[in-house]
Amino acid sequence: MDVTGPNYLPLTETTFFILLSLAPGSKHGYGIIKEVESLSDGRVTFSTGTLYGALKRLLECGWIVGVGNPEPDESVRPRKDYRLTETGWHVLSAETDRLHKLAKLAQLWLEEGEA
Amino acid sequence: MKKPYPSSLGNWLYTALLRLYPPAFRHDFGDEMLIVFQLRLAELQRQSRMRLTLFLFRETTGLVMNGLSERLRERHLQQIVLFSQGELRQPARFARFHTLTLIVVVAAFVWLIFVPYYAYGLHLKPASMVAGGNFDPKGFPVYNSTLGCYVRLLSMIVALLTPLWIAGFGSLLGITLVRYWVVIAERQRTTSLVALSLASGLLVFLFSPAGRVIMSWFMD
Repeated sequence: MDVTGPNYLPLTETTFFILLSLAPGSKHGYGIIKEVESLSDGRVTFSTGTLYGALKRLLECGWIVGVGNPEPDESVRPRKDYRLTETGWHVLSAETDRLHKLAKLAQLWLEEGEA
Repeated sequence: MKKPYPSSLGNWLYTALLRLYPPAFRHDFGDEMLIVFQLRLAELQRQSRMRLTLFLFRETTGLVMNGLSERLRERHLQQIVLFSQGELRQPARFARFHTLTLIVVVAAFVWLIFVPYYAYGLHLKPASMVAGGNFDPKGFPVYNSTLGCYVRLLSMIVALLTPLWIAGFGSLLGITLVRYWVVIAERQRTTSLVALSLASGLLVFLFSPAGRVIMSWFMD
């Protein structure tokens, strides 16, 4: 199954932002929510239900992977970080490329319209 | 799942709503979700009351919608109807669509069943309203018309196609339909038959390749 093929694009905004937030490095759920809020200037806020539903599907697709296991000590909060896999990185790059081309084209047409 | 940290109404509610998710999902993500919720709650409690209210509203509705979606998804409903496997976004969309459909259907039935009861008094039964001639269908066109039969039948089919937990609801609708079939007048049976044929036709169409393509337009 070619998960980087054109069938997977365009990504939903949720998927795109989650992948983008993981690009600099691994993050846990709360970190992802905060990063996405920051990246979108507060426009996109996930509920925990939305976030973990999306994370589950991304894990199933092999675009992200869970790192770090729940702490063996019961008194310490379990925490799992997520990071992009190579495939996830490819998908994110492909989508970014697509958006870039789209924006470039739109800009060109707008400039032509103004002229 | 481990016990939540600070015990509060918010935590209790969140933990209770998490039960809407399938056990496997709760096992994998339940603890993490609760922790993230607690962190967000603590963060927003220091901010405005409005933001906190919006957050709680979003979290609770998100849990209900996503929890039910995950349950439907787990039961592989997406394989029954619309979409081919392959696209990341489609199964989730289908599950969400199906959840919304169910909510609409349940709401429609609650309206259909309860409005006449309230209008004519709780002691009256729908059958006696029709048989006794006291019931004026003009006030409730959807209740006792061709469209009404159509909606009821379609809803019953949708309900019966959904997972086991909704089977009781489907049975209830079936009983309601049979009851009406018995008490309604001869001419209304004809309209009911037309409604039945229409609903069956639509259902066949929805499952056909052409129907799948059309539905996918709406879902994409």
